[in-house]
Amino acid sequence: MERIRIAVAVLSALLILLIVRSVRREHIRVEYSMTWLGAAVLLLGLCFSDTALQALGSWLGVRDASLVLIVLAGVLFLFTFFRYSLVVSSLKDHNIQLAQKLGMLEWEIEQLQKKLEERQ
Amino acid sequence: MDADRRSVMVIIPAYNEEESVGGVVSAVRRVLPQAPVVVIDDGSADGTPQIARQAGAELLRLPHHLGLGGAVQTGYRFAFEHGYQYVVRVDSDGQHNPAEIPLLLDKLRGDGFDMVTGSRFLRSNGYQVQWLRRLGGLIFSAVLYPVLGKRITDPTSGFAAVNRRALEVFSRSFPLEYPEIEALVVLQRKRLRFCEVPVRMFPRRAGRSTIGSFQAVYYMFRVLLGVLVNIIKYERRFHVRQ
Repeated sequence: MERIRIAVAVLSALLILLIVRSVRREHIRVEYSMTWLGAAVLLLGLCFSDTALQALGSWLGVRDASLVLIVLAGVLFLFTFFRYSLVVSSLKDHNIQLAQKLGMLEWEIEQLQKKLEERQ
Repeated sequence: MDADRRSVMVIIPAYNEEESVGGVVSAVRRVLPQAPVVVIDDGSADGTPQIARQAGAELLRLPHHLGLGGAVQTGYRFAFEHGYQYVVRVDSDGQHNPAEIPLLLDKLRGDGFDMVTGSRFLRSNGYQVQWLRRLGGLIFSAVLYPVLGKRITDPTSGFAAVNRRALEVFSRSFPLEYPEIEALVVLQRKRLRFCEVPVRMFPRRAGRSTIGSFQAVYYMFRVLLGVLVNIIKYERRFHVRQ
């Protein structure tokens, strides 16, 4: 096995362990671990499958199996980052709306308290 | 707030501006004594909220720092939800002259515009600006000209008055970072009318600008990308020239 494939296999295995550990400790929610786990498992599987790498290589027009693995890893991580950019953007929008609503509600509560004090 | 006062609201976004916000609130209240002045405190760590309240402002406190666009939009949403017809935005650093608020409001009410902004460059008034900022302003003006179909001399001006139609648009969609330029494109997309009036601006009373030299480059690219995205969003590409 080429050194690059061993390196990718080790890194993928480490990534799986890291993600599983983070999920166990509730640092990452299960739904957000799926994309990382999927990418890592796929890369790990490909490291040990010459047939799959060659098939992908012939489809891409690349002879070198290691190069196929690196390109695939890059593409998978780009998609993963894109997915999390969507998630982060959505969370930021929600966060802004909540912060704005909270500021306005605090003002409403203050007004109600003032009115209550005036009545008393 | 009483129903008869629900015509004009002044919003002042503020972030760590304890040295200037009190003076700005007082000056605005002298010009528009009937209008509520709302300071949106964008998570200040200094005495900004207390000083704003002492000066007679209503206070909306955001639980954490959202950035200028988030704070301004909070004010727009608040005014829209409370039924205000016109909102004037004045910055808390003392650069805007509250005595000129009536200029903006008169233009807004009289000439049927949806937004009126104050321009420090429409008429020469001796306002000194860093060459880098002036260059940035010229580049933005050049980029905006084909998009808006008109020349905007001071696209980064935050001294602005909007009517209820623009308020509705902004309460739903307002850029988060460096919002002034993108806001113009948002209005254009919605077929709303806007113009500039010449105003006099002062140097900041205190504190530092949020845009440093290194951030200027990021600012340029961020705003140009925002403009581009808003062009792509156009419902109908060909605008009517104003």
